[in-house]
Amino acid sequence: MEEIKKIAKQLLSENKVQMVIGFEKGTANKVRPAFFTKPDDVEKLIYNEACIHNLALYLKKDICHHVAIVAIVANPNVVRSIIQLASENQVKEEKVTIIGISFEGKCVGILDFKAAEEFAKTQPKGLKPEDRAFIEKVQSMPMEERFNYWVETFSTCVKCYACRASCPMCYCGKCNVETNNPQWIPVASHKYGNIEWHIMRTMHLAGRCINCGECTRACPIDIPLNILSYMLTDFVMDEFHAEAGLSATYAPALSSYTNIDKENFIK
Amino acid sequence: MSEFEPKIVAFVCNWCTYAGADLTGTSRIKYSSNVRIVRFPCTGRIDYMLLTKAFAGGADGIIVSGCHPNDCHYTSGNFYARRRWMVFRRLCDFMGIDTRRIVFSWVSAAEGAKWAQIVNSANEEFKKLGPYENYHKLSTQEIFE
Amino acid sequence: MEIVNKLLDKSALSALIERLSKSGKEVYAPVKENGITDFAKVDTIDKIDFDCITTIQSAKSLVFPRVENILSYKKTSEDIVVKNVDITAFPEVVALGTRPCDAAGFIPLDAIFCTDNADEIFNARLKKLTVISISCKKADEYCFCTSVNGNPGNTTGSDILFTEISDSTYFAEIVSEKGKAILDTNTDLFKDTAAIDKTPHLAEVKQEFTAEAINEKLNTLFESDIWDKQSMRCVGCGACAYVCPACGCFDIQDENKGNKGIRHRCWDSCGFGLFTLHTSGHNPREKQSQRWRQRIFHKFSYQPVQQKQFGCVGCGRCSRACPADMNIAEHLKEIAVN
Repeated sequence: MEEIKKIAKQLLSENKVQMVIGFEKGTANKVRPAFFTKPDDVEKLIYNEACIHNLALYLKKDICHHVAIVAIVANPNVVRSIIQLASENQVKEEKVTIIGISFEGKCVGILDFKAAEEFAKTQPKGLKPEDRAFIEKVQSMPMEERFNYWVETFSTCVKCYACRASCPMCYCGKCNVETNNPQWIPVASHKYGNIEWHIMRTMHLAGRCINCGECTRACPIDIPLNILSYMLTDFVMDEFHAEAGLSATYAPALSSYTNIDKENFIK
Repeated sequence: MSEFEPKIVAFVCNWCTYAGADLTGTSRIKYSSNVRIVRFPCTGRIDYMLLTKAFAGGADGIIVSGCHPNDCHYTSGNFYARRRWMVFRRLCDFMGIDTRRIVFSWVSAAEGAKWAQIVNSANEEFKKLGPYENYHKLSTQEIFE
Repeated sequence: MEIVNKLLDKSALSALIERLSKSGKEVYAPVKENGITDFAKVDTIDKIDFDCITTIQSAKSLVFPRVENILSYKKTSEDIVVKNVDITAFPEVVALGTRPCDAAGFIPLDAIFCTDNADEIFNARLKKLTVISISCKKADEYCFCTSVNGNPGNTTGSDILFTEISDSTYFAEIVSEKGKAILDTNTDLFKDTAAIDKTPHLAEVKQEFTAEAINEKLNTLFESDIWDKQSMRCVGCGACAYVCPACGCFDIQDENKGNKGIRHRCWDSCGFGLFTLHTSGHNPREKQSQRWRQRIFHKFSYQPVQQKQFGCVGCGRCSRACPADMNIAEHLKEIAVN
C-alpha cells in the first residue's frame, strides 16, 4: 500500500497526472472509490483485500472528461478493462497511467499498455470452480426447466441498471434501453422486460466481458447475472480463441471474424 | 380438429436469399405459405433482439438466411453474422430458449429449390414442436382484456 | 384517536397472522431467501425474519408497485375500447414487520401522490393497506432515523406498533382506526396493559444532524462545489431511488400487441442520466453532480416547500444498496457542518 501511495504522490506532485483514482476508507469495513487531486490527499488512499471494485468504469464518466491525465490504481481486472477499452478506442494511452497491482496485492509499478498486456497475461483468469459448477448445474437442467429458472431468477430484478452502471464496458451514452424509437426493451420490470434486458446486455458484452463480477456485486437483489457473461466468455474462448482485455490492438471477438469460423447448425 | 399452422418469420438478406425466394416463386415451386419474409440488406444487419421480439410477438418459428460465406454482397456482413449467431444460439440454449425453433441457412440467389426445402422442412419441424407457448405466455401475461 | 395500549404474546402473533391470512387479507412480511431479506407474502409466522435490521427493498411496492397496469385498450372494428384498472378490486393488504422508518415513509410518498390531484390508484391501494410495524432493537451504521425526525420506536405511519419487551411478549400500541379494527376482531389475543416505556427496548441511534438544519443550509448551497465533490463516485444507477420508501418517481409506458395493449406505470429514478432529457436533445441535468444535488434538494428542500414533508426517513437503505458506498448520512452530515 505504501508503494502505491508513494507512486501516486509523486505523480501528482510532479504534475504527471492531475487525478489519481484509488480507494479510501468507506462505511464500516467497506472501502470506496476515491479521487485524489492533491499530493496531500493521497494520505487517505488505502489498498487491501476489500479493494475489488473495477475502477476502470470511471474513466468514461463525466468526471474524467476534463482531466488531462488520470492515474488509476489497477488490479488485474482493472488492467484488462483498460486494455479492452483501448481496443475499442475508448481510452488513449497518453491519457491513462496504470499503477498495476497483482491479485495478491503486490504493486508492480507504472505500466504502459504493452507492459499492462504482459502483466494481465500473467494473472489468473478463467472461471472459478464454483462458477463452473453453477454453469454446469444450469446446463444440465432440461430446456424448459432452464427457461423457468432464468425467468424466475430475473423476476426479482428491479431494472435499476446498477449492473450496467458499474460495468466498465457499458459506456454507451444512450443505452439501448433508453431508446424509444423503437422501444427495444420494455421499461417496466415485469418478467418479460427483465429477461429481454439481460439477454440483450449479455449479448452486448459477449467477447468484451473480463469476468470481474462487478455487475453481480452491484446488484441490490444479488442476482447471479454474471453467470451468463461468464458462460459466454468460455464459449468465445473455445470457438474464437479470443479473450477480452489482453490486447489493446486486436478488435473484440464479435467485431471481427475469420473466414473459417466453424459452426454446425447453418443449413 | 384443424391442424396447427405455426407462425414463421423469416429474416433474410436482400441479395441472396430474398432473390432466391423470388426464384422459387418464378420456378413455380410450392412451399408453405405460413411464412412471412422480412427483407434486410444483409444478414449482418439482423439484430438478435429482432428474433426475441418475433417470438414475443407470436412467432412459433424463425428462419434466418443469407448469402454463403465468401459470397456476401457487402463482403463480410455474413461473417460477422455467423459469429453473432453462434454466440446467440449458445446463450439461448443456456437460457432455455428453444433453439430448435430458429433455423439458420445459407441460400443463394440461384437456390430456389433449396429455399423451398428449407421452409418446408422448418415448417414440419415447427408443427411437431407446437406453438411456442412458454415465450408467448411471458410476453402476454401482463396484457389483460 | 388516542393510542390504545395492549400486550401480545408471540404465540398470539402467530395466531393473528394466520387469522389475517385466512380472512382474505394478503400479509407481507420480511422473508429471507437466497441470502437476502425482502417483503414476501406469508400465511404463517414460520418464514418471517424478525432479526433483520431492515429489508433490502422498502414496503412501498404494496401501494406503489414496481409495475402496475393502469388501463388497457382494445381496437375493435368500430371503436377503441379503453378499460381503466378496477381500483375496487385491489386486495386488502397487511404489511407486518415494517420498521418505524418504513411506516414513516408512507407519509411523504402519500404527499407526492396527492400533490394537486389525489392519485386514484395509489390512494385506493393505500386505503386497503394496514401497517403493523415492529420497533427496532438493533440498528447499524447506516441508520439515521433520529436525524430526520424519526426514532426506533416511532408510531408515525403505523396502524399498530409492536415493541418486543421480553422473549415472549410484545407491547402493542394501537395507533389508528385501522389498527383498532384489527384489535376489535381479535380481542382474545390481546391483553390489557398500562403504557410501557419503550426506551430500554429500543436501539440507540445517535443523532448527527437535523432535517431542519439541512433545509436551512441548502438555501445557500445550490451553486456550491460540494455537489461535484460528493458525487464523484456515484455510478448513476437507480438502486437508491428504487429501495427508498419515500421515492415516488415513475414512468408511463404503453405496451401493445396487435390490437390490444396496456398502459403501465413503473418506477423511474432521477439518478439516471437521461431522466431529464428533453426531446430537443437538451438535458438540464447532464452531469451526475447535478443529479446528486437534485436528489438531496428534492428530499430536504423542494418537498418541504411543496408538500410540507421531508422526503427521507433515515432508513439507510440507499446507502446499503449503493454499489459505490455513497453513504447519504455522511453526505448530509457534511452539508450540515459545511
